[in-house]
Amino acid sequence: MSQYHVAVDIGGTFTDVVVQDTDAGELWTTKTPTTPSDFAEGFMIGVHHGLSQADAGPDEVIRLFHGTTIATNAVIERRPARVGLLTTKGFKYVLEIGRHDIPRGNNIYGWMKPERPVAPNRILEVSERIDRTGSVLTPLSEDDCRTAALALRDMHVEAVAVCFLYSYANDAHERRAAEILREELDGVPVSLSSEVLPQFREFERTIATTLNAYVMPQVSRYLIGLESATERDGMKAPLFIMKSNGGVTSADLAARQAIHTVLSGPVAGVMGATRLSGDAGHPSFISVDVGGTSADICLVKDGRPDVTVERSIGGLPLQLPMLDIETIGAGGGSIARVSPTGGLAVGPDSAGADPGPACYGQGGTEPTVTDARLALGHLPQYLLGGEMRIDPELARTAIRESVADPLGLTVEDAAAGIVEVADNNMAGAMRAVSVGRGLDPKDFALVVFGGAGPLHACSLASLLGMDTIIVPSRPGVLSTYGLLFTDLRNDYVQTYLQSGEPSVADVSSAFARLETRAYDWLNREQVPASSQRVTRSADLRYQHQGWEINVDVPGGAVSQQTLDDMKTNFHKLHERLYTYNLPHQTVELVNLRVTALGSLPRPTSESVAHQTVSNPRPNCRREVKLSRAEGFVEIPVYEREQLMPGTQIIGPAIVEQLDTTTMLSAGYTSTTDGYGNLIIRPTHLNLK
Amino acid sequence: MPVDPITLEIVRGAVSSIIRQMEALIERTAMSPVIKEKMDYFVGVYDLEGRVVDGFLSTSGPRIVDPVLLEYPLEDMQPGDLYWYNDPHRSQGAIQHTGDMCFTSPIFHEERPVGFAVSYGHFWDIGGSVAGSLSPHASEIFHEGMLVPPIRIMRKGQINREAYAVILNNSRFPEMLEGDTRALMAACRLAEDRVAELMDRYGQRVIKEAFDEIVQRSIDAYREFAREIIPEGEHHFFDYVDRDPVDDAPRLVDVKLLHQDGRLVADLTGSGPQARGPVNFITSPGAFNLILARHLSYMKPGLPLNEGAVAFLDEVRTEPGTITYPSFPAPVGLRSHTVIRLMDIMGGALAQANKGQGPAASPVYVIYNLRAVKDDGRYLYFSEGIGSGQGARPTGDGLNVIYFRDQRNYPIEFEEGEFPLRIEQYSIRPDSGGPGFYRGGCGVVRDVRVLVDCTLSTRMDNVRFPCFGVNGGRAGQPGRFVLNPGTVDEREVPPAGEGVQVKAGDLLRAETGGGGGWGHPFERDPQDVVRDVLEGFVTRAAAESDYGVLVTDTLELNRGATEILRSGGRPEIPDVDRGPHAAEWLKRLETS
Repeated sequence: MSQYHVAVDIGGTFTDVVVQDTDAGELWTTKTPTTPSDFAEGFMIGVHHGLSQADAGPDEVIRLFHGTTIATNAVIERRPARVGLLTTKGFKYVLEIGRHDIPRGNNIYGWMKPERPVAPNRILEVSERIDRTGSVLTPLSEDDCRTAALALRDMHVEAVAVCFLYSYANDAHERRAAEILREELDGVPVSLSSEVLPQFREFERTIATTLNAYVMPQVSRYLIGLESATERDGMKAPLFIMKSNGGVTSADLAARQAIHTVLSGPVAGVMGATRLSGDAGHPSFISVDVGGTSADICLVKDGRPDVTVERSIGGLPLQLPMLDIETIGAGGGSIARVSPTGGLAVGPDSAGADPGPACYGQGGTEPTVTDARLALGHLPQYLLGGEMRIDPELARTAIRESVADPLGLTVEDAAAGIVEVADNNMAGAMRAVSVGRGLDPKDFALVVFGGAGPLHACSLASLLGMDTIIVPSRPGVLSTYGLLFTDLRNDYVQTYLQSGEPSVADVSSAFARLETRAYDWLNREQVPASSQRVTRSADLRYQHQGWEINVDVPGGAVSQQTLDDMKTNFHKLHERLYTYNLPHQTVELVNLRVTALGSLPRPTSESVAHQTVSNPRPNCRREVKLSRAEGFVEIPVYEREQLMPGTQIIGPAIVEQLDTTTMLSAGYTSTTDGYGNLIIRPTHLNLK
Repeated sequence: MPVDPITLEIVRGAVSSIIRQMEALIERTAMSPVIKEKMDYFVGVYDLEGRVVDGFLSTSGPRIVDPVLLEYPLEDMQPGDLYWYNDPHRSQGAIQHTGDMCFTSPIFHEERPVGFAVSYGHFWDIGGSVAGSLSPHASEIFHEGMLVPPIRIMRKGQINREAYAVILNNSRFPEMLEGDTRALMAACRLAEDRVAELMDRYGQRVIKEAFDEIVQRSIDAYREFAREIIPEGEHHFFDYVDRDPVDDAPRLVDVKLLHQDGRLVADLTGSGPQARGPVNFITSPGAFNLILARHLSYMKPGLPLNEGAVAFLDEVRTEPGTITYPSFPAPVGLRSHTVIRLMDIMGGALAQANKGQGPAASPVYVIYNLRAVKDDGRYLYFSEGIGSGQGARPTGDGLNVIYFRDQRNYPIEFEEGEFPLRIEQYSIRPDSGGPGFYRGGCGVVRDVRVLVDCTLSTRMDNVRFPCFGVNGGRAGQPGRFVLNPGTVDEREVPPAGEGVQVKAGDLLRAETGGGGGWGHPFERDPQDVVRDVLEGFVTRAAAESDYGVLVTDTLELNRGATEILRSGGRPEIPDVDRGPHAAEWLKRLETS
């Protein structure tokens, strides 16, 4: 009997499934329609379809991996569970007041506060107070907790969040409040700030804790539904869920820390890119995942994506560890229009799936990047292998009316302009993620995926001076593929409370406590000792600064040398990131962090041996306009399936496949490598 | 040949990305809480003529490079130079108060100057009569900290150590001043590099033409829209700043907006005499343009905030010696009291001229400062801004608890580590927002338990003259400061007080004012009023008296009683309602 891994990614339209034989490494992929009324249905249909392709039985599946957008959609679309919140007495309006700011760049008269996840009438105050060192100033009023619990029961809340001041320094009050809530509110999930985000800044911590409560009921209902469906169909394999930090966790923990799955989708894509680019010999790369509404950009250095705690979602800050993915409103559906000052603006708003680009003929009248691509001949008139027809005349009309005529341009030049502006928007964001970290994009490969990514590849590389592009063999399912190459991962953080010089004893014992929790978790997840890995890091800053820099800390006994090295590395990083450092100023230790990794066994991918084959026969030729400066020229169009390993083609050319189209610009050469990736490089470099 | 619209958009996007990178650098590295948590700082990229191509404009920003060019001609500038100043009078209001230290560096490309990078931030302490450098009782500019004329702090990338040492030595918190100045200087350097890269990619000529085009198009767009939205004729509006903190008298702020013979002119010459205390505002033409531009870009989203926003009026008239153009050596530290009245006045004028299409007034932000000197001679100082309710607008309710734009409050879990104090309450102040079809935003109640003997200074306006409502909306409520409320030790604290002695254990309560309402409150959806009661923004009593909405004991709508109340007792409310407090003061001013 063989053993299989199965990965399932549920998108808005399609559910993608990848099945892998864990011995031979062979892969099967399949696509079925998503079933929004009950996602589990489409999930199971997809899994069975995939297994039958692989000729495998449900009992041969040993692990199931899944990326879910349930939490993301619940937050973005504001489809909340009915949540209650307990706060320290005097601070009921913590969410309403927030940081009392209008975010930079918004008009002071026009800005509207994003709707808060809990209305003030469901926020109840409890008498208690802990100070910044963790000492109790006012003991917890258990009566207040019980009264609040009863009030929340009358309101029929589906989940409760608890966030008390300084609970990261002492969580006793939050834990006792949770016990009382559980006694009075049977079966209602409770989200504690000391578990979700044990870090200072009460508003941000309350938001994270509340959002966790907000998505807990939906995520846990959903995961329980999936687990019972897989069991019913004879699968005993454990279900692993993709988290925003780039690791997976058991479905059970994912249900309790539901908000940690909020970036599940884009993160899986980066993990897939990390694997594939590493295999292709480029462990340092910038990935660009372009979909219909947005582009997700991530920088990965030496096979390690950066983790950030500074993201926001739906206008609310969410300071949980997440892969540092920059999302910009630039996708195939991004709308082009003339700005009030007569410029050509592309995005950030999008025509979405409905009505979609004008060329879809679903009533859209505003031109999008996809319309521009079609008008330029970059896209064929049939998508998805002929299932979907798109209409160039509709695209041209929309471009003419909204952009070309008002700006006095020809439709073709306007279309080329739309593409150029979209390219530059993406390149700007890529420059910010690299140069902003003191890194040069030239030292990175470019990995493009998502339905529209490979169309932008050569332009982006040329704008940024990058000389290696990788187009995966299946750019549309890279996210699903990525699920197969994740490790179990959990992050632990502790704010360092002592002011002044950190002591070896304090740091050592704080790391030890975090590591105990990390190993406990790995053991609970049944990761064998040989596959357990626990790493340390620390957040440091100059005294008085507001942001920290995360510095790696070696394992083993903590010594004075360890502390000194932390500071030295901090000074160095500060200079790299911000061009200067202040060696004579006081350095503060703010947070200690520990990451638990449990590596899962998986087959290695094999490169297929091959010989170079030049100039294959194109499938057809098509008239295309490559840039504003050029007119229409006839260029060859290839089918991706025919570009076997070793095949070399020289641009300009177009490569078409079911889920994407790759534009190969003049001056670039594409070579298919042993894994089926297109490796695109400037032709003059290829000749060397 | 003008730059084509596509290249233009690409350059515009690239410059705005440079601005974001400058901001990110400053937020991550600056040290004083004012910059890093409160985000009171500004960055910009300017062309060779000193026009803003893109930036984050607060009220400062217009013509900010000019004072440097006056002292150091362009021909003398070299790559790696960096200039520093903060003098408000000398710069004719380009910098509005001494706390804002400004850095400017010329951007060079292929050895030719092509533009300027600018950054400034509000510093924690730059000397002067009190820690924090700003005091309501300052009576000349020299009380407000050191005055730096334009100086070249860096030559070819090398810092002038002597000048730097003199400046740092004059702060009570030199290490913060060093951290902040290094952050702002690094932001200028970053912009220099990025703009030069942009020129490498597109060529110097294309970028210069693009800058010209970006600036000119923006000016044209504002001009055109301002002519559309300001009807021909004269539009007059006024309000009072509560008090000159030194002589305690109210000060008139008065604007006539004239649209005549195709020209747009703002005339501020009717404003009252300059104050002895620091509420004076050196109204540069650019700063006034910007005040009006914020309203225009609200009414027409998409108008950029660059040179167009500061240079679209044909003329701004001011009179030296008035509160809107004080003469040297008038103090200007609390100039926001006048700036925000000017913003409110423009909203009121637009509402009057355009059938209510303008926002009601928003209060001046509120600040308190605590100061002590420790036994070892070290300073203890903390300054905190508190939000207030914003004016309702034609598009919705006023925002609850906002501190003027984009400046953030300090997390309690941060600030209690900065000064011996404990925050015991931070909540919404019900009924403080002016009633209206759209309700004015509510202010806040903040209770601060002070844990050390120290002195207190306060800063609050809109007590005598609260925020007016427009289009039938009511005025907002005034705020107040009080010590030890509800105890035998209760005492009022003056709204612009200095040197108030506070004992360890005292509780300072700040109750901030609310914004004006928009539209008649009896037309507000009764369900919205019930929700306001349920969520604590409006009391049941006020729902009945101000909105004509009866809310039951179980906090539900009594529909029948509401209908009777609303049809019978609908009060007349003037187009501009200044409220009973202001009415009394206006009467008093008239008779005196």
